[in-house]
Amino acid sequence: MKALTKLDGQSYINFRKELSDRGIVFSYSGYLNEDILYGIGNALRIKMITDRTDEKISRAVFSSFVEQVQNVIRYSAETSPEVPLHDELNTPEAIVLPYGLVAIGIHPDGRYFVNCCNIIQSIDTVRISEQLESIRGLDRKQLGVLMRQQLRDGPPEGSKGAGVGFISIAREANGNWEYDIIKNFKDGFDFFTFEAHF
Amino acid sequence: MKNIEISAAQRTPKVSLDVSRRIFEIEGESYPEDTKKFYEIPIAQVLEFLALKHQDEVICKFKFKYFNSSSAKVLMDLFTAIEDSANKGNQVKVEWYFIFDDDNMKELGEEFSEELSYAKFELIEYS
Repeated sequence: MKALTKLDGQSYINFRKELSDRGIVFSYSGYLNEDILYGIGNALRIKMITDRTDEKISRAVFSSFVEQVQNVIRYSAETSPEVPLHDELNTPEAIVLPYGLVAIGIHPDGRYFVNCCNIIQSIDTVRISEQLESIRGLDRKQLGVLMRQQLRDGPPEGSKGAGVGFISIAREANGNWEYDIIKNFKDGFDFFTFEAHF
Repeated sequence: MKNIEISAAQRTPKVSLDVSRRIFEIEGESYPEDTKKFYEIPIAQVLEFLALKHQDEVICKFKFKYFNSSSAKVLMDLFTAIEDSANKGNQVKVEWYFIFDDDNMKELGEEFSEELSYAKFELIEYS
């Protein structure tokens, strides 16, 4: 059978070059689950060992990677459709796979970055930006105090974890993090991206 | 009360409670797929153990390589229960282990120790 289109190798070279020009060493775009987190996390750790990355940096990069990917898994507003396949997948709950992007790389100045992107509902944008603005400019010590306070008080409404993921990342990155939200990526949905630097 | 003996797995720590020797220990990595599911039963038992009256010292050992923020919530619950137990008259000691160059794990220990005033706390470096 004749292919309808010819595979264009050059386009993939361009794609790869775009990633490497951005310093990206690991990247994943697509439906995520905890197995992917574990798999990429493992390869990331091994890569940092073989690169002889400073262990303090490696630990912080790994930790940030776990928190950020778990955030995407818990909060991405874009998921595969919920199909009742409990019996076939042997699970008590319907499985939906959240969609997101993960990129880990090295800046030209040698610092590592961990980036995640996902779609959020526009109605959540204010809450998320307020949460992040409230920790902007806080140093490691202040973030540690805030983290414990939040752990004592319990998770805020709408949180599926301990509600301290971003605080924990900000603390480990010594306050070197940023985020951006692009409004109306789709109708009712905004595009959220978060990056931590080490 | 029964002992707890959960072996470490890829993403979950070893969790043990030796009732007769009064030693609770948690060691390894903690970023479970489902934190609540992993910790719910053993931690409920440890909280129950800490609430009992003990004649001799109770030792709680924390030897983490890594834990994520949802595991930190479990730690906070444990530290609260440890402090309550000490406040009610038990002798309770926390041993927080960290690898010699892991400043972050050392700092986390110091920070969590601020939850304690009646319970004793010791930072222990290992290599």
